[in-house]
Amino acid sequence: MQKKTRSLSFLSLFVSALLSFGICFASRAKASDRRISVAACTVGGFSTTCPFIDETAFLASAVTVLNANYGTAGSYSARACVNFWNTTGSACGTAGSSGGTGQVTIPTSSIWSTANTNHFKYISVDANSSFQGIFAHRP
Amino acid sequence: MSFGASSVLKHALQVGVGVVGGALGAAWLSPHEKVSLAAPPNQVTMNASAIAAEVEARLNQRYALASSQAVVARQTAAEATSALPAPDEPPELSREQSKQLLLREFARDLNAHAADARDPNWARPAESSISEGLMAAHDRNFEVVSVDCKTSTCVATLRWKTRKDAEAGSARAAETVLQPNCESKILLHDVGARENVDSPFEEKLFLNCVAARAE
Repeated sequence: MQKKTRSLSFLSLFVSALLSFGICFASRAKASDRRISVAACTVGGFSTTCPFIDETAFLASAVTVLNANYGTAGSYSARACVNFWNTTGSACGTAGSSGGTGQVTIPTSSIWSTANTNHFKYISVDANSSFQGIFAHRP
Repeated sequence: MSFGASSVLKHALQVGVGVVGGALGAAWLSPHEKVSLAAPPNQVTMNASAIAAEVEARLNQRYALASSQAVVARQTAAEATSALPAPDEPPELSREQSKQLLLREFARDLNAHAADARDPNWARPAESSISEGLMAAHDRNFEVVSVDCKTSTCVATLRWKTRKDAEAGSARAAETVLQPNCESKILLHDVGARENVDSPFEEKLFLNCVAARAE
């Protein structure tokens, strides 16, 4: 009888833990995508810079996929950068290359890491009339 | 005063008895603990002193087990305590403090570069390529004074007509895609008391090429 009671209490503990776990994770935001049109970018003669809205719901440090898209295949490059919030200066990560396609995969891991949380993020891409915009994904 | 001390002692004793009792109880109830005071069937004829010795031996065995469980419990509690955030978290840095931190990091990068050994097989072609790449940045507003590479880092010294020009064009210098494919960083130093705001302004562009060298 005592054994049965103990089993029941353990079962209720397990079920409540499972429910709490489910509720906590259900309230978390799902994976999402963001598309930044060229219309939001500053188009220069030789380079174009696009802003990245680094907000709580879509933190730059959580971005796992970042790419620049061009309408025509070609050799393009792009890189993720930050403007320092507390002094005049900037830093950029390594550049990604399209390798003859219309899409550049941009590395973000180090430059948009949590170490640079406070700085303002943006993307620098090769200027080209076929540039369409930026795609970002976070899990 | 003496009443307070004796009261504390009393409570400490109560706690101690509770802990030992709890540990012994846990040992007694522990499912993996197989020691039993019930004598095996072939030893029912043991005399009283032998039984007393056996009981004492088994109690000692239980005490040892309870002690080891208490040690594990203390270790677990200590680990759990150390995992908690420190009560005195450092306060958030002010704008000026974080700026100084950033400038110190930049100075450390430049010092590490200066102290690094030079690999001429990598440094020479890297210097030429970086210099050409910076000068080929069509919308640049800076001059390339020098480029110095070591083993996996490079520093390009750039010059602008004024600090204002540097403020407008330093980001372009950092954004320029170069070969080797390095991370870039530039921070403009504050104009010192002896410097004229309208005089030519020089700053260093730091290039970290560790990833490029690893490829």
